[in-house]
Amino acid sequence: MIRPLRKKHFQIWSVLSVLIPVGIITAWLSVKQPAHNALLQPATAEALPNIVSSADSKDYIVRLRSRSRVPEQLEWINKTILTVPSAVIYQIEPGSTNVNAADLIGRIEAKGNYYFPLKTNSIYAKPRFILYDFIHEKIIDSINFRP
Amino acid sequence: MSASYQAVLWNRQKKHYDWLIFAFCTTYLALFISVTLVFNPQVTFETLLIRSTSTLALLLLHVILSIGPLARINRKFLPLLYNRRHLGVTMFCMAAIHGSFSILQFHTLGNVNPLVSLFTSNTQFNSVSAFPFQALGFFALVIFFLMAITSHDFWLHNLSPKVWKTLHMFVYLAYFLVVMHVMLGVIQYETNPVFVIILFLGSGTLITLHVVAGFREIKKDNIKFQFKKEGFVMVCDVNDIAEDRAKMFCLDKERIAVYKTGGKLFAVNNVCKHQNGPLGEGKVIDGCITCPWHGYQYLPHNGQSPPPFKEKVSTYDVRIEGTKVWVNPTAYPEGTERPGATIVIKTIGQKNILSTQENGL
Repeated sequence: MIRPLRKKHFQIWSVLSVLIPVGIITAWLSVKQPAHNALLQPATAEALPNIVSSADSKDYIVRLRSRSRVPEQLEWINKTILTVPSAVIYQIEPGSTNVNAADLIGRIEAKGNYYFPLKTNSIYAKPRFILYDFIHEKIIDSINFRP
Repeated sequence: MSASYQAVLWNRQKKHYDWLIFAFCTTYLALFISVTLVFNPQVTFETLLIRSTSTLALLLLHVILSIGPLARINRKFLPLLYNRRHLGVTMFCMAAIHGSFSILQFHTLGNVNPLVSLFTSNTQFNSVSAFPFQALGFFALVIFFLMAITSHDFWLHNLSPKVWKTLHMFVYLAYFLVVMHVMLGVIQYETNPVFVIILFLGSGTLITLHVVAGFREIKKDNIKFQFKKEGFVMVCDVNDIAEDRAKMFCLDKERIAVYKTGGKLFAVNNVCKHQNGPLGEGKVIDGCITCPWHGYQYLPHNGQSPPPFKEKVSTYDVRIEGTKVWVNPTAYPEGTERPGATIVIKTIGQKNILSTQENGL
């Protein structure tokens, strides 16, 4: 390497020794913090302590939970991402297929745990739920618990 | 070293070097893809390619940029310098795959030309966190492309070493662009601080190596030689120079390499005609001074490359008084033959006493 080139190398790296750390630190300090909106994101419900009944399938685990013996909460654990974006859960009377007469429990989408409160005065002897695609208006799955 | 264009000559060392690069890249990509698939099985093929090739290119770029200062700090790293260009072309290929698939994934689904989309889809130049970082990567890739296509000696000869070296020094600008491309791109979305720490450590290591190597070179260049006589400057003791090796001295504008070989000392200009490599850091192989960078050779007594090659470097007068080496910094025209200085060893009793008196005048 010729002398002017050695000098140029040194000058370039002297400049870079300032520019690079300044660039890295500035960019790191500019990373936006994720927005928190308490109104749009209500706190996740806690799982109740007792499992009353449980049903397991390939894609999800569904449990009835309670503080006592009466089911008060539906726990829905999605093992994988649902391929149907418009899936909702209905609690339905045993033997019925009429969604219009069923109670809407909640909507599920991504992989994860979901907790929905159940109406204690509408618990049937044999709780039954259906997973319903409301866009295509068809039942995806039905979940039956033993009493 | 040849006077005309030749394809790359694949000698045994080059093949080993390239196989090593290939094995490393393949292993890295396989490991990266496997680990990603274990922790994120939903990842798409395009995303896997974009991420694996980008991290590999960044790693290779750090290795490439650290070879120069490492070789200047410690001679043991000199073999890495040989064929560094192959590593550079490999890095460009990885960066090109990353760039191509990124454009394919993020800019080909609209009704705008992908390259136009690259520069018009985000114009928030006044924002740091939302800065159009892809443009920075694009410009860095253009520099790497120009370097890759001019990496062959054909371009070195046609552009001249000065222009070629100037072009290839744009790699430092490209490195800065790449650092900012990463910081303003993926780092803005990845919350894990490990990525920033790795990049900071990589850049810090590079900066330290280059600055330390630069200081050492400046120190060498600024050594003042006090003893001068009849146009000659006393530079060192004969015993300071190992056989078939040299020591370098900056006596005027440029360094002079004083070689000891075959019982003689010879002084030649330190700058190789190929890529301005430091001839004084090389050694004598088959009777020729051999540049440590790419193996260009020169005869010690006249500074000429052995036929049929045509490169020539300047030669200097050197003489020995007692055990001290004296060099005249006035250069002879390139390729001028000089007799060198003979090292005479007298035997007194059972001891060999170095008593030299010949000179190159």
